[in-house]
Amino acid sequence: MGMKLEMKFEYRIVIIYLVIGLTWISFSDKAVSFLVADLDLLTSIQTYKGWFFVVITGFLYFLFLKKHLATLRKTEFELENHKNNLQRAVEESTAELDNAIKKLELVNNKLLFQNSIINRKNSELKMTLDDLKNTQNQLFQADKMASLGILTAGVAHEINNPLNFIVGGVAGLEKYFEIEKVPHNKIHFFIEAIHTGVDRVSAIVKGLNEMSRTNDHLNEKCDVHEIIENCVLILSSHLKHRILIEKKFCAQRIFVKGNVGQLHQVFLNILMNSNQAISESGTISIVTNRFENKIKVQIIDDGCGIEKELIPKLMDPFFTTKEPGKGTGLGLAITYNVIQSHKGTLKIESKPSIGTKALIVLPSNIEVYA
Amino acid sequence: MHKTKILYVDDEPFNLMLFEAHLEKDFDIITAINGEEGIEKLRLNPDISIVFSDLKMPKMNGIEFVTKAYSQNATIIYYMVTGFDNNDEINDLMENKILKKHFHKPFNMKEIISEINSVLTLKNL
Repeated sequence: MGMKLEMKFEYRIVIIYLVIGLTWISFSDKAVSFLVADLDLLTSIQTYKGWFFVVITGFLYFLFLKKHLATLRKTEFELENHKNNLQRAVEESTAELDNAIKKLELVNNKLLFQNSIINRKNSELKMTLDDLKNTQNQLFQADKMASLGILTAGVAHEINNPLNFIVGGVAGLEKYFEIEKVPHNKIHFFIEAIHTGVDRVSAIVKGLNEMSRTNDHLNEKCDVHEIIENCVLILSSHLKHRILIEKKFCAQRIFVKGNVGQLHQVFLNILMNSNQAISESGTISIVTNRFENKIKVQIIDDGCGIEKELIPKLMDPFFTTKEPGKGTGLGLAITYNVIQSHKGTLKIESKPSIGTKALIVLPSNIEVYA
Repeated sequence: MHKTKILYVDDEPFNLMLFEAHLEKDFDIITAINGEEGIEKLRLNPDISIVFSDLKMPKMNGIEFVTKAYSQNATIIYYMVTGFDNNDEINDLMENKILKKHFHKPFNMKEIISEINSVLTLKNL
């Protein structure tokens, strides 16, 4: 509505110019020719009239433009200001947002970091829990074996005297039958039964004694590789042609402070078990290495393996998977006790049909190397 | 011919009886039921040349008996017989050459007889 009434500036100024121009030209000519008669003067006045017109209109033009442009410039200036203000406002807001984003990112990173710490601590706790459970199991086993040791020590020697009576008595009977020339045939089996019984009981008592033995000296310098080589040699008749022994010994010689004889037993027992787990042919690998102040010996066979449920019972005295009479079932119990008294650990892992691994860790003090 | 005299000391009568029964054919076996009686028998039979003793006995155990007997007669050959495994005291006596050897129960008579024979052969040389 305002637009229609208020004509645009360019139309106004042209119309005013034309009106002034036309009016001046029309009336000034008539006024001058009325006032001045001289033709020469008239001509020069026409010229002065022209200059006058140009100057006046120029001056008026200048005033109009100045006024208009002032308004325009003022408007432009204000616009520019607004524009700048807006830009600045936007920039400030953007900067504030960026800041806020950066702060959020920092907080987020902190949270992620703390989350990863929590995760790590969580898995450390799980590991500690597993360790504790392991240690607890070991303590139970050690306690069990210690109690058994005390029990068996007493029982073992008590049995030897009555056993002696049986042996002596039967020997006497044998002599009597010989002297009296009693026909031997049936009696011979009875006597053999008594002998077999006595032999088995003796073996058990001997094994029990070994299990509870505490008076062997544990201060010998034991060359582990040499002991293992000896044991392989001792068992060579069992292992020959059937079983391949792979020795993967570490480069340095490894020593343990303990009892040479007892350590022989340890390896003999385990190698014998591996030998018996392999039915037709197979491989036994013996791997040794040294780390920190411990030595690690692994004896791995590819024999028939052991069922998972039986593994916790392996080191129980008298536990055996063999037929009655074949072995006392004390081998691993003795092995376990020896390793304990040498301040080491014994762990047995197995998968049925795949094989068994016996892992022995023993402390190896640096002084022993000297 | 004069048979060698051997003393056996043990607190179990059956052990004494069996030891004697198995060796009496070749040797003159004297038995004692405890350490004190053993010392007494040694006194009464100074020609005993070999002594076997059990370890675990009441009043005077095998170690005490052998030590005392040795101090009175060091020419006798002493053996310890026991159901126990080796222990430090027996090892000490063996190291000091007081005890010659240590046998386990139940007796392996063949082993004992062969030891006695080898010792006597050396003595007679």
